[in-house]
Amino acid sequence: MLKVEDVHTYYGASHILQGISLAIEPGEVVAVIGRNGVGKTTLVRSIVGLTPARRGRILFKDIEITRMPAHRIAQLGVGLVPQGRRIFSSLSVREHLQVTARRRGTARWTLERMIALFPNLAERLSQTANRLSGGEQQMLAAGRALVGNPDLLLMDEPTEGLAPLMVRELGRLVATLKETGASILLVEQQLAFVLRHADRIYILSKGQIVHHCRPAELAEDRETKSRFLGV
Amino acid sequence: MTWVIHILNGIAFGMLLFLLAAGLSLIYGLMKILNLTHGSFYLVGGYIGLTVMQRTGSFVLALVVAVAAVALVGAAIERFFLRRFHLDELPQTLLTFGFLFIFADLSLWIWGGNPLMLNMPEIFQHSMPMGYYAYPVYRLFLIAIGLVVAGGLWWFQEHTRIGTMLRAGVDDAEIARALGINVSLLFTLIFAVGAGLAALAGVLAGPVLSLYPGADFEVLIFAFVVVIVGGLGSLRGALAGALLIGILDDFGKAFFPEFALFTVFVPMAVILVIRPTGLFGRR
Repeated sequence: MLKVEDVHTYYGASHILQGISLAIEPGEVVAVIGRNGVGKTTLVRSIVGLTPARRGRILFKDIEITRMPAHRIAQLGVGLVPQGRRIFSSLSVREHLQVTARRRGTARWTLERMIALFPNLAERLSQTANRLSGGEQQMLAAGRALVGNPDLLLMDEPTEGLAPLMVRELGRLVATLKETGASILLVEQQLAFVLRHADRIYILSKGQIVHHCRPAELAEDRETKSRFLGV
Repeated sequence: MTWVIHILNGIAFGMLLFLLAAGLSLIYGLMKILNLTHGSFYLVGGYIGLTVMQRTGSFVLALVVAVAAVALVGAAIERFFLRRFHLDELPQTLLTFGFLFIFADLSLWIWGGNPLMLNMPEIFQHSMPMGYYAYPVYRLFLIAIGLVVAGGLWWFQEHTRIGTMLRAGVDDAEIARALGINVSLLFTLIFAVGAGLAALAGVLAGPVLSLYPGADFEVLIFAFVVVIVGGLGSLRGALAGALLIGILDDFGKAFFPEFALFTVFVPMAVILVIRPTGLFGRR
């Protein structure tokens, strides 16, 4: 589904990603975890084309997307739930679920299905999205990406700033997506969430992948956890 | 009754300002470009309309040709020049400043330095009785056009898919791109629409304000005041600001001619002190 090969990404002169390689197979939920400022969001930005990699290659469904314009990458089937939600403040809930909607292949996600999945949003379809609570905004950010019917969904710190109840709700969404065979790249800081939902985990530290394992292994591995995650 | 006349005059001038400010404001809102060429689009549009009118005698054709030609020029400027400096404000502003001079010199070369009046189409060459006065029909026509364009733009922004994409792009261009919206195509489209609206204002102003070297700069200043008062990036703000400045300017010129500019700039300063983002501006 996605292959990241020896990717180097810079912000101006600072070398943020220093040779990242990872892969996601169809139907997998893969997590990238790490502390603040290790390059997690930069990795997401490199994949979606907002901060293209300077060296290395990124392949999506065997098509090279390394330096493709962001909107083309999205149209190929990469969906993004950005860090901090970044809801469009002047669009209504309904418009969020329409403006990025795309029928692709066997189009599964529609406005109607999103409403069925998030009944909270159904009552607020004509409200401006910035009136929603943080949790509802997160659901809307996920819905906005899903109606584009992506083959791969990137979620950048989706649990950030959410109340425990909303984190559970989000977990249900990830589980539902997984059942439908979606491929997901989950970038997170919250270890518990990742251990519950990911099939594989990469640990990112100072712009490099320093560890790759299964959730069960990481749960037992105290040394790795304290060294790279501070828990 | 004099008051009604002045208010109507102010609204008519305000509608011309709105046509300019709407484009200026949309361009800034989406692309963060302060387009100093906007006044040139107005003047060149007016001149092109004048030439078409002289050759063919058709006001409608003058409007259509001027708007289409200037919109094309705007699209080309965006696509071939501004595009290279995306989000790089200083080079972009300088570039639009450069185009201002190029268009000013080209116009001087082609249309000369004397003020030119566009002939008013015959159907508008009469006045409507209004109490003891008679009011020129052409100004009512200006008001009507302004309202139709404002309504059309509002409908486009609120009720079409491209309009929704446009608002999403204004809110967060980066995320809009990452979700598959071709924001760079929107840039070209909006620049063309903005340029076309300025040209429309130029042709419409031709029969009342006349066209002359320097008019480009004068209307640019007015359009800036309007978007500052109304709030950058907001269509509602552009309309409210344009009407307010149009009316204030008319009253100023009528009652305190020696302080005419004060009646425009003092309210602007006051509004900026109270609401630094303008009447309908965000953040």
